[in-house]
Amino acid sequence: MTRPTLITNAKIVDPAKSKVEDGGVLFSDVILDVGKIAGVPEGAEVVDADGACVAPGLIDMRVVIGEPGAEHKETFKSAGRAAAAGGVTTLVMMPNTAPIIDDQSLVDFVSRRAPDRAGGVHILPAAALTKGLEGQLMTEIGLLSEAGAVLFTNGDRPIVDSRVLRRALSYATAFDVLVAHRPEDPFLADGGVMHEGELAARMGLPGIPAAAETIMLERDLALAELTGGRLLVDMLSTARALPALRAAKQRGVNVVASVNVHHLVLNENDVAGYRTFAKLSPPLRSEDDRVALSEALSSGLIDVVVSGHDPRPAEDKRLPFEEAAFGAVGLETLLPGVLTLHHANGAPLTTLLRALTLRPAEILKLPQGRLAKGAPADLMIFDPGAPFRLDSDALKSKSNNSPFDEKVLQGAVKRTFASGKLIFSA
Amino acid sequence: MLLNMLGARVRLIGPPTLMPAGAERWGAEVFHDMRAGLRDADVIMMLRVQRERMTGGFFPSAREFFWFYGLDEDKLRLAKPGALVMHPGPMNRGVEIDSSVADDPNVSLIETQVRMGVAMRMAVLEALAESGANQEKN
Repeated sequence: MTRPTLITNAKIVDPAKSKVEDGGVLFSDVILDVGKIAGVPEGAEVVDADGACVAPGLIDMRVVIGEPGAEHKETFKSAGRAAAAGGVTTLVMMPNTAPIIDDQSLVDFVSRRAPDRAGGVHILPAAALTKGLEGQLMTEIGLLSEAGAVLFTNGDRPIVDSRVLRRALSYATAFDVLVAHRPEDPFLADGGVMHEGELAARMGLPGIPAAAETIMLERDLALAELTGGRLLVDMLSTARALPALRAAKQRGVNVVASVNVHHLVLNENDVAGYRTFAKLSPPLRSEDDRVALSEALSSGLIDVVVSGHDPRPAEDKRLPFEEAAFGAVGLETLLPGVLTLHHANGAPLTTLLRALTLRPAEILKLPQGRLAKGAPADLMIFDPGAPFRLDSDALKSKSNNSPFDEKVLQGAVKRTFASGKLIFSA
Repeated sequence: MLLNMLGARVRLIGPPTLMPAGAERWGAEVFHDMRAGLRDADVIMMLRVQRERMTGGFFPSAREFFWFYGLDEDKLRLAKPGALVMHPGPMNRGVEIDSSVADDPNVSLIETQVRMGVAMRMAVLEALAESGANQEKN
């Protein structure tokens, strides 16, 4: 057993509760006690949080890592370092590696290799939903799930053939696995590089209409309803999509939804000046969309926030806007990004943290994400108010394509623990 | 449905993609987990995977189908001791049934079933032919 650690003098942000309380956390490799803790157990190491917050380590359900195949973008090691610095203790790795993770042996590769390299951060593989992400033949969902794939996704390549998605969702019910799908009509989005609207017109750039999202979302919800499959709507970006999601949830469709942290903080104006680092997929939408998404997060309509971490080297990003790659790194800015909703709108910390800890844990059926006795001691200490100016060159990720570069953010991670071990200290 | 009328309790086991729509309303219990479905069964009636009639993928691969839905000795052990195995033939060995089960004379009724199937078809054809001939006479 790991030597016990006692965090004292902390504000406890328990995502299962609605209020922040003063107290401490005692843990070894699992949490032993939470709240008012009298005395220091013998042999325990004491960490004085000095009034900072303690919360479960974050669970990021959507992270791209370049290993295997694109190690110049990100490796298990660099992703682990970036995650630990961002307070992320568990992350789900997307299958769009080279080779694509669509076979048992590749899931096995990630499960064996990542724990040695990732410095304590739990890296969980997502498997491709279709062979080669081609949208034609479903993968061996049962065998991949037994091998340890935590969810199935076609990544950034939506499945056009409705029958293929229907069969996959239906087949997946036999194994009770989660199927994530990006709601974007690839034909409507084809060639578009930013949100379609007045700004795109003025900038002379081809747009991606909000309808690209609503059309695909309505289809996906209909298929989830038809099959009873467990669907994760992957990264919503528009206000228009929300009524359909709400109606489906009310009808009892087995659906949960995520939003990319950047869509809660930024809007289309952040690409003005042709800033390719804010070129994302789905694109940053209007301010009305951003506000609607943050409200949907607060109300629980949107279940989880993801970083959408997508490392891209400068040579893919420092290009004319239309040619530049989509995507942004996010592991290290996930927490401060979400905290902007606390500072600007007064959203409660427990509500915001729930979407980064407890909800993802429930959806992925993980024991993490809780401040409860017996839960794995994945924890972070953070100061929600600490301001800093982001220097993207100082990011621990191998790529530094952050749209938050030079922006002032609030919320600094001071320490991160995974399975009771200190894996990051500011 | 006929088996139900004759007093048998019927379970249907298979991946959701191969289940007829509304199968649970036919009076059969539906299982997607073969191990759970086989528990305490007296007779296991396998069906042939008719890949030639399938458009699009109903399941990912023969390997995966066999792993989860192929009848092998391991899964057979979950049924009642002395449970019998049937299959209308022709069999896809290594897809829905393992040879060690198919060829075990102690559990497999398959050869008898196929032999009876031929006799049954002959009888049906003869009955049809005779009734046709009778109608022509009248």
